Amino acid sequence: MLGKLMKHEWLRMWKVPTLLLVFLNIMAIIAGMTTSTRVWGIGVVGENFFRELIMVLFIAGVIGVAFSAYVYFAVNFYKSTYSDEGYLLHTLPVTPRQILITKTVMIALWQVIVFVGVISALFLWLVIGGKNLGLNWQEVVVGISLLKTELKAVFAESYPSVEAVIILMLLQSLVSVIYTGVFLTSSITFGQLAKKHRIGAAILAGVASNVVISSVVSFCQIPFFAGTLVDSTTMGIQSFFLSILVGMIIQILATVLLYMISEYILTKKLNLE
Amino acid sequence: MEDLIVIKDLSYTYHSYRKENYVFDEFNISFTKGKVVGLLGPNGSGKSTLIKLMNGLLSPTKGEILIHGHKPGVETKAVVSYLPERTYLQAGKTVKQMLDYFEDFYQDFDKGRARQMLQNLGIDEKAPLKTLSKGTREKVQLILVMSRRALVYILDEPIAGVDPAARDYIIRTIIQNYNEEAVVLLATHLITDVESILDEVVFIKNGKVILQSSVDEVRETHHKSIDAYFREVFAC
Repeated sequence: MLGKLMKHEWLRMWKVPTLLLVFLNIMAIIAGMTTSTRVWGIGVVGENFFRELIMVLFIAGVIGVAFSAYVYFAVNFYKSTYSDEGYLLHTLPVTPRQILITKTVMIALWQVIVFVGVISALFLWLVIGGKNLGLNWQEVVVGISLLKTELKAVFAESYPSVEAVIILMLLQSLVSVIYTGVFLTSSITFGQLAKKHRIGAAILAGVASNVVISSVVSFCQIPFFAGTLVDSTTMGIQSFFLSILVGMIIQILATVLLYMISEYILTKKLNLE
Repeated sequence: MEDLIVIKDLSYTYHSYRKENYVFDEFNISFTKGKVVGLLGPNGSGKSTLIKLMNGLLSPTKGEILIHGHKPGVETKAVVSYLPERTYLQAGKTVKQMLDYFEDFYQDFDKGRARQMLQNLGIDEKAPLKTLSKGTREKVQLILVMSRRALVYILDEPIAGVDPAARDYIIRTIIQNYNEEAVVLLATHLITDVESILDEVVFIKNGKVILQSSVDEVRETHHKSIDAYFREVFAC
């Protein structure tokens, strides 16, 4: 049944974020082409202003698309789980756990897809309009290889290795994606405990959980942040590594806790309007 | 006769303004197979809460509900076909997509039967649900629910939102599609419209069963139709 739930959730979700990403990538091409036209550089009054305006609008579009997708995931979860449509979902022969896992996995998966779509739009924009933005690809390639050499040199004399840091960062990204999915579903689920104004209650629950979790993460990372201020590369990298590790562990614990409370509410305290 | 639904010592409370309110307190009832039962009562009597409890949409405070020997959960949801008062269909889908959805999740769903009923009512399978009227969406929902070969059908106000002509079709649909091994629980205020198909009635008032009897018995004892007797019992 989990597979069937996933299939139908995918069919339910794919259209809106796909349209947003297609729109963003088309905008990237247009922005890139506009940037690379010969209009620029001929000394027209306000030329720089307009060029910068296009950049600002494009960046705003990128942020807007990412934010809209996030709002869409929240609305979709609320509608399918707690509005009238919930009467069908919760009377399917599936467990609350299967429902929550499906919703969380799909939100996490779509976050990754949106991230890839946003990167692709930025890449398109840079490739098409890069020249007029003062971007020299040869310099970029040289810069990246220089960075690699410098990183290797820095990590050669310190523990952890550059590979360990990369693996940790990848793991951290994966945890963050799952955490965001659970955070979104749990906030909306907590809001369902309210008798009235459940959407408002969900937003409040989200803000409250975010404040608590961020505070705990920051508090636990303080000792390691202090280490990064010491004038020692080895110690700085170790402290940075450990602070990310601690943040990730707390995020995992928070994910598990939020998920367990959500599952309990869905199993024992479900009360559709 | 075998009891398909057994409700024992059921209590359900909710809190409001720091006060514990009882919807049900030590509520007992059972339903046997092969019957069409009318769950009747005024607004606020607890009918919808009882239906939600049977469907696992609410959890009892105390006591238990057993459907085909199981507490509400995956096993019971596989044998209970539930029509809520609300339209639960996804507006963004077509009728056909909803047929596929039901076929995927319910092993007892008979797609052929659903298609036949859609055809009888002239509803296009390809039509997006958002383009259909509220009444037609309710018909589609009823067709989906009645196309399951379930053991328990729980229908909450199945004819409230449709015109009188469609009501007759819906009532015929209910009676033609349920089998002798199943029980149909029908909660409605439109008693006259459904009276002809009821075998049994349950009157609920303030969370208590005040009558559970066969329709014939009510008519013979009180010399009244169910609708007339209901009006007498629940007169304001």
